Amino acid sequence: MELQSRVNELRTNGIGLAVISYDSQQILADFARRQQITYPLLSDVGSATITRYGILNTVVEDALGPNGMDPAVLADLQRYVTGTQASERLRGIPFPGTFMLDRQGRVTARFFEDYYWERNTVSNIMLRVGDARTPVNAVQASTEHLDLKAYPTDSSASPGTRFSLVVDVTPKRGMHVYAPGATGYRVVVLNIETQPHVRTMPIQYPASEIYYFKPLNERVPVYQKPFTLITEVIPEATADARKSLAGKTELTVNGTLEYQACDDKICYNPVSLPLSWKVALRENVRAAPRPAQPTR
Amino acid sequence: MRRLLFVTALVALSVSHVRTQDTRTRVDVSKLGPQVGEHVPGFQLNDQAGKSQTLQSIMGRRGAMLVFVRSADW
Repeated sequence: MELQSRVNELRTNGIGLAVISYDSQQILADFARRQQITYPLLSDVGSATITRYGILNTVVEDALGPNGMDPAVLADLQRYVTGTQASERLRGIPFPGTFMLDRQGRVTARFFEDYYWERNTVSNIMLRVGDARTPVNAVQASTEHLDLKAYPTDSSASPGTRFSLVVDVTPKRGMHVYAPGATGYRVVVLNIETQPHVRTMPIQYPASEIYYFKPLNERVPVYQKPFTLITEVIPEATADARKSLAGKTELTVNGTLEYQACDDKICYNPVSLPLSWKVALRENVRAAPRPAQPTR
Repeated sequence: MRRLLFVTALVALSVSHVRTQDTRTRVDVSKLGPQVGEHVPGFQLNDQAGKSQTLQSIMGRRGAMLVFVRSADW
């Protein structure tokens, strides 16, 4: 499991870790032994804790109930529970998700996916909550306006894992690039080349600052201190996607960083800088969604 | 008569269909469970070694990551 490889990183960051499922202690003990898991796997037989947290997967109940063949119920089943059919053993599972908590047990961030086969990687969660990260496979580049480092949050991914492509940008002294909301200038943007079965989410921009350009009495949102652009990527886990990704050992995502830089005297020509991110593709160990087979 | 029965059956089918869709609440996973800023419920559960664990016992010095999964078994 990906979590085990991140235990030390979490510990270094002072973050405790526990996983809760409805499995018996015996099943968890077997699983921990087989997978060499050292963090606590908590046994919530009967799903009382899952229920108290308000995340009991109600779609299972619906699918096993009198409306089990309702198209809306079947669609939810495919999306939130299983690629096959409802069965008794699914009763009591949660909607899978992750809570980040402070010392007092208050939620500081939460990650619940719209599709049961999707998961945030730990690194992606740490990035989203603004914690330290270890760049992997980083590529560095410099132009006359800025230095940058581009890297993925994870060195490997499986179908359904949600990870991020990151670009750390450091404008050179006196330079600024334009942030969303700037008009009349080219706003910095990360363009990711689309490819089949790899979903790319919109870019996450950090807060910008207002730059006052006295000669034109102009106030424009810019970045002039180091900043980070992030875009999340998910290799899809559908049957079609698996077929197309089968045999591939690496996923390469290409893109460009587009920007226009100015200093207090000159506005330079817009730049388009090609970038590339590589992650190893692991075979997914989790059950994959298969085409719907409503047999009930 | 047979035709009428067939039509009635069809109407009944579509009515029951509409009913289930109407009474069914849409799932919105972002709204489920404790939200950002809220406290999560405490718990006392055994881990794989049979050791009793609580929210306090799993805490690191800065907090914790609490992961809910479907099952370790399948």
